[in-house]
Amino acid sequence: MSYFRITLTRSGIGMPKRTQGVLKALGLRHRMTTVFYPVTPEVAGQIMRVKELVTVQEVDKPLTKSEVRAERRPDPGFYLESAAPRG
Amino acid sequence: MVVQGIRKATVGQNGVGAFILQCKRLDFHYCDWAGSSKGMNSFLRNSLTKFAALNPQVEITVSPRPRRHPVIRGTYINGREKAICVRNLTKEQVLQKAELLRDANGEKLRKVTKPVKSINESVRGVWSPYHDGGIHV
Amino acid sequence: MLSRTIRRSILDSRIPTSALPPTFLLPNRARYFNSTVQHVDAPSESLDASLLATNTSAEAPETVAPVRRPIRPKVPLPPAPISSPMALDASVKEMLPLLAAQPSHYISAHIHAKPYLVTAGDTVRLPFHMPGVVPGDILRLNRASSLGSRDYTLKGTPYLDERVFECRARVMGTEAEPMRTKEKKKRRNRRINTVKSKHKFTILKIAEIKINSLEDIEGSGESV
Repeated sequence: MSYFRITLTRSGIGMPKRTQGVLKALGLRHRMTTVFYPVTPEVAGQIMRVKELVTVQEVDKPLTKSEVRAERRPDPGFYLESAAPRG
Repeated sequence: MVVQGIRKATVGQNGVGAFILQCKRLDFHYCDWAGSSKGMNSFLRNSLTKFAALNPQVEITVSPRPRRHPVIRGTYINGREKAICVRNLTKEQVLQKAELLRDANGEKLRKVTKPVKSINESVRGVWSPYHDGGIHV
Repeated sequence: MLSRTIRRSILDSRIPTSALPPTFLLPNRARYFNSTVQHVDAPSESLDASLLATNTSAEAPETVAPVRRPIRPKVPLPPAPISSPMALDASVKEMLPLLAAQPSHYISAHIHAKPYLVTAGDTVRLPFHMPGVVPGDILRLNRASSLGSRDYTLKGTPYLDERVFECRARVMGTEAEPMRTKEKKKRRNRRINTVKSKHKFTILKIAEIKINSLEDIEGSGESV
């Protein structure tokens, strides 16, 4: 089973009520929110209505919210190589 | 023959090879009588030995300062001093202040806008318009 | 007296290296895993997520804890060695010894995705207070986007392979800025609220920038 990974890249502000309603139905509240939905004709139709505002990817597995956050978190870029004595 | 000093080839920088903690001494001043020294006295009795054992590179002195507020004074390898008045602070707060003085570098606090400070020469040199393949008109 | 000693033992935050909550360790480790995987060639998204999932389940505390006891959970742990052999371009193989042979080098090291263009001996004032480090610690910086000398530059896409170079930084201490005060006032109202803030910053000194020779790089790739 594959999923749509939908990210809102442009805001729905200034769009017609119908378009904003589609965003709300998809659960996209503000920019850069990511949601996962199974690939169905219904969801595909919803995406078609807001295709100018979102980027869509097809993935095999939905990620949880924390996993999406971990993906976006940059690498610290350092680690402790040798520690000074601290008791 | 003229006496010539030996020119230094490099500048010693703390932390590049060896590392010396920049705080070299911490003086703890207390008063036996005054209430503002309560937390300080408790710190001296209970936590100071542990703090001193954890930081063997810092010289620690304890001396009375009667009828005055308690003070911690740090002396740094750059020759400066920092003093913090710890009146009416609890033992834990005094420990925090001591750690603050230990980690500080003795410089005056100033707002730094550039993150990197360097004394090295520019690695790639200064750009020159005449040595960059010339201008094609 | 007894209660005081108990309270002291609880409140003192510098000691409890032995009593580490494994829950602290978990997200750190899991994230680390994620980040080390990303520059090995093309792992599929599903593999990553599934491994993460097993890591967060019951298995993780047993596998992670005996490997290495971290000194403190707040500082990132050394990542697992990269097993995949490094694919160096022919031009890189040709130019890297020339780059290494030149006298001074610079590196653009990224800490929390922010670049710092440094040479050996530079002082870096990080824009934050790094938790869990004390003066004297040596940090290894392993993310860099470019590395160069006077005439040559090695650029990463977007980051260099961390086996090409070794960059070490010494934690020098903590500095603060002068107290900032800001007056908050609303119109048609006499009330003035004064907000104070004073931030702390960790100071690093770049102790070493070393470029590994080709033999070292390839040797380490084969042995692991």
